[in-house]
Amino acid sequence: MKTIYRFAVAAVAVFFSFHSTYAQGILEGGRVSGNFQLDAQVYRADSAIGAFEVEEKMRMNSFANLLYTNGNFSAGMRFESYLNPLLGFDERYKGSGVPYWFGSWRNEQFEITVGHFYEQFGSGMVLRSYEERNLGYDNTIRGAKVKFSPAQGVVLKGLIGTQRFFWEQGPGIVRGLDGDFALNDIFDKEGKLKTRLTIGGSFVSKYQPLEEILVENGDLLVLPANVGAWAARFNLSNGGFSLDGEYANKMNDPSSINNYIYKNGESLLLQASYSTRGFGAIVSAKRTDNMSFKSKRTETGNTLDINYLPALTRQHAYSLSAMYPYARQPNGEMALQGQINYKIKKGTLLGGKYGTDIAVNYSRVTPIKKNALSGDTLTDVAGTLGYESPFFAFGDSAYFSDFNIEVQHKFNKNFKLLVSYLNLTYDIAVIEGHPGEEVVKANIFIVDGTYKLTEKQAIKVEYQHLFTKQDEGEWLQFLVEYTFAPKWYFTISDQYNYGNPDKDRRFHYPTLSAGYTRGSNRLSVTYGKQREGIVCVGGVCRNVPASNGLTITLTSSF
Amino acid sequence: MKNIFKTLLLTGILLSGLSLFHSCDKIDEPFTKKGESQDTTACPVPEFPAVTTLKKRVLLEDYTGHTCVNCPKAAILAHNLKETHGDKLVLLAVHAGYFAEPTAGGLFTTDFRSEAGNAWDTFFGIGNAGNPNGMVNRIGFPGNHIKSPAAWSGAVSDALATDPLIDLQMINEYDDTERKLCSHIKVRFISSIDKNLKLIVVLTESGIVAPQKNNDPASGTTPLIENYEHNHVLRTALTTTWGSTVGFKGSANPESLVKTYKHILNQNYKAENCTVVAFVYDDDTKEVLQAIEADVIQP
Repeated sequence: MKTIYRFAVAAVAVFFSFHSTYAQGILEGGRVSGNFQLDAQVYRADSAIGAFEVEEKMRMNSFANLLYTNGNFSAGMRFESYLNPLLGFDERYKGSGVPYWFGSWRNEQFEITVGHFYEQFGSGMVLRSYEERNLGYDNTIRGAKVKFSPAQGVVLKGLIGTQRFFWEQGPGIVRGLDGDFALNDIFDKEGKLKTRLTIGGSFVSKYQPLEEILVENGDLLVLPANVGAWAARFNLSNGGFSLDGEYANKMNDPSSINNYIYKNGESLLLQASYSTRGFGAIVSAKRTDNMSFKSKRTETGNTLDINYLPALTRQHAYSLSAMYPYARQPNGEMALQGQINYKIKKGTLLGGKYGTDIAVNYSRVTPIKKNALSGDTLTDVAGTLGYESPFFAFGDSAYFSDFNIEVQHKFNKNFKLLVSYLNLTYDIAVIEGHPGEEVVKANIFIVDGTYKLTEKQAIKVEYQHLFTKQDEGEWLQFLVEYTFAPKWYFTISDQYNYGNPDKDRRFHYPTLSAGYTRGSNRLSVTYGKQREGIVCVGGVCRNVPASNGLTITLTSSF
Repeated sequence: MKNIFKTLLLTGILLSGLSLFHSCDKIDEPFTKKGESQDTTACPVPEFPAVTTLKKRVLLEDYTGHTCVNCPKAAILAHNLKETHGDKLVLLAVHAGYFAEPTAGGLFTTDFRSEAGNAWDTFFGIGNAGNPNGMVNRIGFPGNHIKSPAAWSGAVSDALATDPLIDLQMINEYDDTERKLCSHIKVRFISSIDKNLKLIVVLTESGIVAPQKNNDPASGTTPLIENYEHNHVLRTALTTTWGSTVGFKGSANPESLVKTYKHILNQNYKAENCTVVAFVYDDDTKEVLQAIEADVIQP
């Protein structure tokens, strides 16, 4: 923490000394941009829905980004303040400071970054450093990164650093190399070939000092101090057709996530897509086996991840369709997804004057098959290779499946309608870690209509209905939104858990909200109740506790 | 010239890339080595006396927290059950979940939570269900294991009524100069048991005086008991969180086995107030089959 402040002070000092001596050189033509966001909530206890009393009464998350660019040079920083973190965000964020700053410069071939940076190799299966504010997720790397393009179509990257752990750095050092080769740019400079092929590869290694970890009977594990992982990928495209694939493999990496087994991890991702005017189709498949890769062995939370395992499920936007979102299982999953988008042409019977958009999506995720090692009766025993797993075998039950169809149609200049149906299977015991709970099977209907009253005013009405016999039973939601473009909106909504098997828990969750936008400033105020649940972005999730009260969000950029 | 430079640079990058490939340590079997706490030289195994009467003992886990206003009442209830059942009931106060979180300032800065307690709380979902809540021998998992204080008395009586399949004996030796605790636990199988069995050994401390929120006037001052006595507080596990294996499904049990744990007591714990609690459970159902406790300093 202290070093961060010291560096920040030093950086400012250096900046201003440049200012006085080389003002002409470095500041001329420079541009400063930035953005700011503040989320504050005033809490009121509501023991019925499980909203706790909050001692501080009010809590706040906020941040501001500042970016300075001048020709080939750029520098930036982010100030963050959590006083105290909003409920549902990790308490270890408590406090204020500058957890992110960097300086970067480049010429035709090189780009060098020192300080903090985000990076992704391929699909991220061996390295992805990113930030997702909705999750309170930030695994930025602090160190140095070099990007080098020795020839057209060739990009090489190298990096080394440690990862952010709230206001500190994790104990492990991450080192990575990546190469990307666009073969057409290298061998077919005139662009004669229609088919394009890009290949790439990465290698990432983490170092963490040895420590004593005890297993059964007080035996100590023989740990690797360095763990390597590599990946190879390709992308093939021709016109509207595209095929992508990446395979990743990780060396023995006993950790508390995999219960200290020594099996190599691996992951394969394949994706094919085709698109043409009015039609798009995409099919993807993934196998993940023991691929949690963190820069600290004993870490189990959403922190210090070196890699990212893409989620092959559709991310839903409506509140009830997003009630049971899928969280990826790094210890093992087999996933399949397919989606078709089709536009019924305008001027046809079903297309009407403006055409009709149809999207059908299906995804299914199962565990991988695990067989005990010969001579063993159990799988996943600490201090062993864990298990054997046939590569193409699906596990018996499904963690998750989602069939959904969405139809959008514009009837006339003023009225458009969206109708959607979802059928979900959700293994709540595994995904939310509530052992013993029954698998949720849900059907969800959504109708969303928007009617333009005048050029500037519109009314939107949403009806959402979730049917299930499990978990908390049926839910119903109504929402009415009035927009007065471009500055104002007002929303009133209610979620009603009318089918809760426990009659005393059939609660309403009403909310009222209003928003005001002016230029790049936006203020929104919401008052009401929030049900307990989980929110996921890209398969990474956090719990949202029940709350009751006033929420204020202010965003601004310049 | 420029091309030569480029080739050299590329070769350099390639070589440094290849050298990175050495930055991984391949570990070959066996993946474990003998750990210090298994050391029976530091903790020689004593002679266990012969058991004359076989007793079923039951574990009551009270999941609690210092800012939980209904928890003192539950603790009194647990204490009364202990008075009734004597050494047949083993108590464990697990501080975990929202109400056990320490505050940054003010009265509730003490962190009574433990790694094992947090893991159990997450796994059994007790904090999510709210405090006070508990488990009696962890019976009923996965659907019906969380017992509210009102259900404790009945559940304890039911559990006590079943026959013990396992007998546990415990001998603790404590050396105050090194603060070294040697805990020996003898697991004796009454009959052959075809289950995956695990043994968990933990340390608890009683008589810790610290503030506790309270809303029950019968349990103490409200809304706060400033000098509340926290008893049976789970401090740390001597085994791993989920214990050591003592029996495998499909393999015959030995008649008995002895497990020895060496542990250096934290400076902040009062040895005279500390107790070792051990219990054996079925890893598939999570049900605790037998429990035992003995003070660190035995008479």
